[in-house]
Amino acid sequence: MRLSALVSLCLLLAACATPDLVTLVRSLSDTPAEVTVESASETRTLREPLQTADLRGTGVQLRSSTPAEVQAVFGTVLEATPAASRTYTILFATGAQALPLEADSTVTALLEDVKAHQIVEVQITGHTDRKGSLEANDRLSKERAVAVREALLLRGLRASLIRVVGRGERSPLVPTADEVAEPRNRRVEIVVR
Amino acid sequence: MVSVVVSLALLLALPVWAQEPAAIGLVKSTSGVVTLLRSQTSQPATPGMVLHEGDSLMTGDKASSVAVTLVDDTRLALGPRSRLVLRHFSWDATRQTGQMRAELPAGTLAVQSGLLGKRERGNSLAVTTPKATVRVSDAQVGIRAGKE
Repeated sequence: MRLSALVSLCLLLAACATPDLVTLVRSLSDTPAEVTVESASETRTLREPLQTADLRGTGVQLRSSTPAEVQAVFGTVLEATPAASRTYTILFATGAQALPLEADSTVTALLEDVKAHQIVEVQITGHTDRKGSLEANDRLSKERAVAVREALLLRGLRASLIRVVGRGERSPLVPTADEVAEPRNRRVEIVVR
Repeated sequence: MVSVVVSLALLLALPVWAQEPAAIGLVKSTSGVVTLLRSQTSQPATPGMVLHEGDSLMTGDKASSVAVTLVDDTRLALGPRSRLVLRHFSWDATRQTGQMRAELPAGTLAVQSGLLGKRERGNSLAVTTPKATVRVSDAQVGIRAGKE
């Protein structure tokens, strides 16, 4: 009697009726999304937006959610998710680690962006083209990134976190064969996050 | 002999003193009551705070939430009455490889995958709840845990 009263009470309360769940809200970029949900007894994969995995007992049950349900359950956290980062690019002359004069307007735009957002991380990533050895390009890419950091600090950059990394010739914007000089790959990308 | 041992000990210890814990992310915004737990001490989490591997974030009642960006571009938002443990986070920015393991013992979490969550990097971005492990590639997901 007391148990059945407890069960009915539980049925009335949303907290008891709604299980743990995982919802694929949206896919990012052109790459198809993939979310695997592994419980004690099975693994299921979500691929489509609004697909939801309910976790009842030890199992995983797939179903589809309505936008209203997603809003009700995850509205707060989706709204609180930080905005996408912005990327600025500065191009360099062959072998050069000094900023070109043309970088000035990019630096100005970036500093305004940082000022407008208060709490930001600035990640400065140096790149080279494929002229020269991998090791030399790792070094050069880092030197380019450091040069950009110095220039930004001189112009009064104040960020919560500044990170500098050299990626050498690993991430060409334009893929080329080795030993090819490609201006668009000699760059520093600055991500304001 | 003793001095040799002492100098050796100093040599071994020095890098540990000199080493700052790596910054893995940033608290972007908070609302309501948000607490940061780091090596058994708790303090209010405030925007601009730098996060380290092993940190936990806890939120208070109804109106509380916290938003976080991680250095690989993963973005997180934790809802009210929630707890998130950044258990493991490694990220080699030069090679763009690494792994993230977070735990959500209870609450709601939105995860927007960054570079770690790129498909070609396999199952590098995972959140574990009491009932399941969720691996995220190229997606934004909502996870609710600790309801039953």
